[in-house]
Amino acid sequence: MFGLFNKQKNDEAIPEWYSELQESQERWFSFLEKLEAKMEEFATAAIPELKEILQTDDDLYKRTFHKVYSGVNGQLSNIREKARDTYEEKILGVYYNYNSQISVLSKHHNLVSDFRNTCSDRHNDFENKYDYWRNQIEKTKERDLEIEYQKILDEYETIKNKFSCKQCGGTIEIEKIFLIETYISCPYCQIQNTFAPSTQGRNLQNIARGLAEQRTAHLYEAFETENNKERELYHQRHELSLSTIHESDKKVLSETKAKMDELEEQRQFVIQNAPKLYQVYLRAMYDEWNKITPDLKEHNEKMYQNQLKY
Amino acid sequence: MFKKLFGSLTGDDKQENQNYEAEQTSNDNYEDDYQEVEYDPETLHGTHYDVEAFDEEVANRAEAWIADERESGENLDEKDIQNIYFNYRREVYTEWNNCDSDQMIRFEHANSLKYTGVQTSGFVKVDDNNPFLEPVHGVTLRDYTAMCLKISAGIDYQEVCKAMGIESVIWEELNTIWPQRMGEDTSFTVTTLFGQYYAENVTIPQLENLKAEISAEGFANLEKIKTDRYFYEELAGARQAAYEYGIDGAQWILENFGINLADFQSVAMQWMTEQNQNWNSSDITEFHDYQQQKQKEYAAKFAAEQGGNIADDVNF
Amino acid sequence: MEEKKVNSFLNKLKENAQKQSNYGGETESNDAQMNVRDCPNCGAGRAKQDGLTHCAYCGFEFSNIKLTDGVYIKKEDNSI
Repeated sequence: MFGLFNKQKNDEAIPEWYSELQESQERWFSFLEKLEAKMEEFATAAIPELKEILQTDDDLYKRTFHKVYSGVNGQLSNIREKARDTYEEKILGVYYNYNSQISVLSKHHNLVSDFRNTCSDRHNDFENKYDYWRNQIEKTKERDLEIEYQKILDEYETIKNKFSCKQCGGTIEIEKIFLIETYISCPYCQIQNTFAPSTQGRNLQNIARGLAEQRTAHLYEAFETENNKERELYHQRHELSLSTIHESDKKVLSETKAKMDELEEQRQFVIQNAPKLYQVYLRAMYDEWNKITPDLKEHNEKMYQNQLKY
Repeated sequence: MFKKLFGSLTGDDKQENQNYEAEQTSNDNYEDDYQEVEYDPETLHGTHYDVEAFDEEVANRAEAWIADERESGENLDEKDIQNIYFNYRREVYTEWNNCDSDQMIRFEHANSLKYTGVQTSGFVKVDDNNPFLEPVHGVTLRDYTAMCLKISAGIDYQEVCKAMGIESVIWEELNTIWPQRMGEDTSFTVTTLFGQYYAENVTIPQLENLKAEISAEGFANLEKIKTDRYFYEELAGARQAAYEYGIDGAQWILENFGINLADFQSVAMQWMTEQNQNWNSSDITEFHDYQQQKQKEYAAKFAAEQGGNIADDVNF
Repeated sequence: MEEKKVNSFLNKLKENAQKQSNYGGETESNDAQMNVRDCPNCGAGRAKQDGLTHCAYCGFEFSNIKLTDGVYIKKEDNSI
């Protein structure tokens, strides 16, 4: 039907069946473009809404925000699944069909494999855009924890001398920010009072780590930058290596090799150095955390030791 | 004779025969008959060999490979070594028991603490002297789990404290320290055991009279998810779909099926434990696919309530 | 036309999220409080040196457990 096994010596002519592949490819590109436009439109509208909801949500756990956040990501996932399902059905289906009918030795087989590669590359671009928008949406979760921490500190200053013993009336000073209910004995009559921290005070535990990470983010970035260098250096060296394939000039070759060796040395250094920078970050983060919630220091130190092992 | 059944054993002939002598039968045609291997109920090792011999064989093969790698200049860190042992354990187990991969995985679960230092639900090994399991203010992990179950079922924590005969200050310490222990224990014994108690829906005499309200319909649905795995997977899929459409899934299950979160999670843990104990990969795939299918169905329903998904009008 | 769809979806999402009650109910925002618990049996106050678990005067059990070292509580807080 498609002249697949046509033994005419019309090697230059593009086979008739190619038009089906072309059409599929065009439709695939157009389809993905439309999906990308949808993702962008939706994310662009959702992001400011999410930021506003986070501000106005007065639930302790920000559950309204989280529900909307999940719903927004749900739509993006839905779009991504649609692309994946369509790829399976409309692109791979067609590819396998032709791949089984056209011999690899045929002059035109490259049209079939090019079709698949082009469509697959375009799909990767789509997936990258999906990741981009997911990251943008994730940023709406960011809270400036310094502001929340300051509110907790301010509240503590206000209340620390406001309480008096229910038995004798003497002032009971709250010596620190307590994280949970605790017994405090009156310094005058020794009677045990029960102190219940405010909801805000109790929340200190929940923001402590995030705040510590916020304060040491610059150290983490230093680690990440160093860590990413390994791949960059690898690719630079790889490019140089490829350039030597057709090079015959001995002088150029020797210069290139010297550069390659230097890059490799740098790469090895980075492989050793990046973990050290991570250790610096980790210790600094835990130190900050312990400053914020000193009552949890014993537990945190055990967690730190565990992390070192992994 | 046994060598034919068990393939490439490289151990000493004499030693093997000492272990196997008792198992000999008069049937000479091992290649033709399927020999039913008997497994130790606790370790899931075949009873026709010693565990020490097994561990020794694994070590021999692993160390030989490690030596080869090191000789050819490979740098092996601790994770690599653990990986090598892990793979040889699988190889020797499968060879010595002539079993399929499901049996091998059950074996791994039963021995996860011994070989990887991490517990598996359904196979938790509890040591009486484990400091992580010491009672906190006299309250054991089991007691603590029983309290958590009541609270997650919707009973006010003050009521639970009263029934236990403790002040709320004590409860707050319990609710801080037990989770801390779970985080500190790298073998996950505390976490896994907590999960096991949760799955068993443990209760203690002090709390027996505290019952969360449940409707007749909720009670019937609860019984159904305990016994009908498909129904459980359907609700699990529906709950996932709910979150994807901005709905509080736990609340949705309560409103539509009358089942509270504690009961639901408890049943989820029961199914997971049972799955670990009776590992069967084709069942697992079937239930996974079924849940996915149900999730899609409920997602379509939720989407319809929202006026459809935003990309519904984009077609290939 | 398309913009309407995106906006209406978002608005519905927001409305539903605000309307639907959350599992476990609404959270309260409480102020810090100080209270004292006298012995419900004999009315005596609970002094620090007498420990937290029993009333020093009549033996009433405030908490029927044995305290260990905790976050703020120490095992010394056990009444004798």
